[in-house]
Amino acid sequence: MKRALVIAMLAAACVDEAPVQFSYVYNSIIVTSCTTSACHSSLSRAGAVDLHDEASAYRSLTGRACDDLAAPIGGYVDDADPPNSILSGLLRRSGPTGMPPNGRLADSEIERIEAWMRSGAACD
Amino acid sequence: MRLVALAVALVLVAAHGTAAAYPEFQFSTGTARCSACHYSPVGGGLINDYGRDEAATTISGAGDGRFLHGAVEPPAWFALGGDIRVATLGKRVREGTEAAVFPMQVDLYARLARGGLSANATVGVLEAIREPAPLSERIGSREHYVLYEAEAKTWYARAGRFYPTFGLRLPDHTAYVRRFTGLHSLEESYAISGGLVRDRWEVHATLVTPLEVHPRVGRHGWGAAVQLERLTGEETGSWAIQAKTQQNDGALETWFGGTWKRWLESSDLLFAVEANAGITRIDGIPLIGRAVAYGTVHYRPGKRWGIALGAHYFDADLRLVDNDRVAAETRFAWFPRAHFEISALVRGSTVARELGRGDLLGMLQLHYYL
Repeated sequence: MKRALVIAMLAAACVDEAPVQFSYVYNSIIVTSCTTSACHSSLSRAGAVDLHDEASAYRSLTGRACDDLAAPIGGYVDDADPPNSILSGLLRRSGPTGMPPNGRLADSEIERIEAWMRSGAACD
Repeated sequence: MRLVALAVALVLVAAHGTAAAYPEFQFSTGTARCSACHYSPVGGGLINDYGRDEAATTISGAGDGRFLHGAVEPPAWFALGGDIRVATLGKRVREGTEAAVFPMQVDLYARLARGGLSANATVGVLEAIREPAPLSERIGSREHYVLYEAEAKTWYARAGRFYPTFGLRLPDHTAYVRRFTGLHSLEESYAISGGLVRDRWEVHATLVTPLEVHPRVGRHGWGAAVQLERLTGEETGSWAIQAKTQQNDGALETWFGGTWKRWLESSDLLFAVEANAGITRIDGIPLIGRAVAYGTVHYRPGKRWGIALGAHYFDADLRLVDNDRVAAETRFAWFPRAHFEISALVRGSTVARELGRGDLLGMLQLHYYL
């Protein structure tokens, strides 16, 4: 029983699958890589992009508010063609103008963000 | 654009160094507790008379560690201090190389005390941001609190804005165990805390509140932290267990872990380790497992200088393959006389174990404290 539990935990830990909801993208990727005091916090709002809380981040990235889902998706996000969105371009770009500027995200993290866009870029 | 990217890189790595404790002085100077040298019962910030004396004798072996080098003698109920840091930095990231000199920290501290009660505040320039607002808008107080401490230092209670007591309390806010557990630069919350301190152990508990902070950096929902630390050997080491939880934007993030420290006097080596496992619960999605760790060995042969090797590890979601972050570093610190420190850091980091995704950083820092 104990062995089965350990195997199950290890298997769960190694599956390259994660949710595609925005709440996951925000809490697992954006908060850890983008919201430090000097970057996209409410203090700095670097590039006029404010990611300091989930609602602000959604508005900054998609150009629409969480409670106005009738509005078209825009801004940095393209739900029809995620790899060609501005956001993906910034995340995948080489050179100093890419984001985050102190090193690229893992491919698995970028793929999660693109999967969120592909699923409709909902505020969920 | 290169300048913009450079500024972001600079502040990500080094902006606004928090005036925290130097854990390598614990045990190696013959002092087991942070509060021996700091007014704060958990270390960091303004140093007391004993700490100032140690800076001139045990740590540097030269100079006068008192406020303004002893030129002015504040009354016992009033203490002042400050930290000024200037850094020069070179960095290789994303196929580019950058270099700059910049102010890293300007903080002034004040403490008013009567009996066991004290009011403590830090005022400083909050950030070296890339699109700087006028200086008048960037002056603020990231830490301010009222503290009551029993005369025998056996217990304390405090309320105000400060970091919860958790982990190794490293001065480097970019250390993964700080950066990824909600203890990054300017992320102090309004909180109340208390602690019991005994001969061989101490316990600290903090209740974090969602009160609005300015500027709002990091997340500030309801939360709590607790740490139990026990001294080992002839007060030459310690271990601690700890937990921290915080509600943020519909996500509940919880960390469990511990620290271990050991000073080997015969070889002048201090070992320190911190490891935490995390669980994040978000409505409607499966639990997210996380891990963060840090280890260092510090060589401090007598006075004036020390050198350390360290390693950082962070995994934001254990389900994802190849998303872990790893960094290795070496640090050198020279204390030529009281009030002065010159330190150098070289750190290389990777993402998904790929060198090209991380960065290589070299930083020289000049530090003066009042």
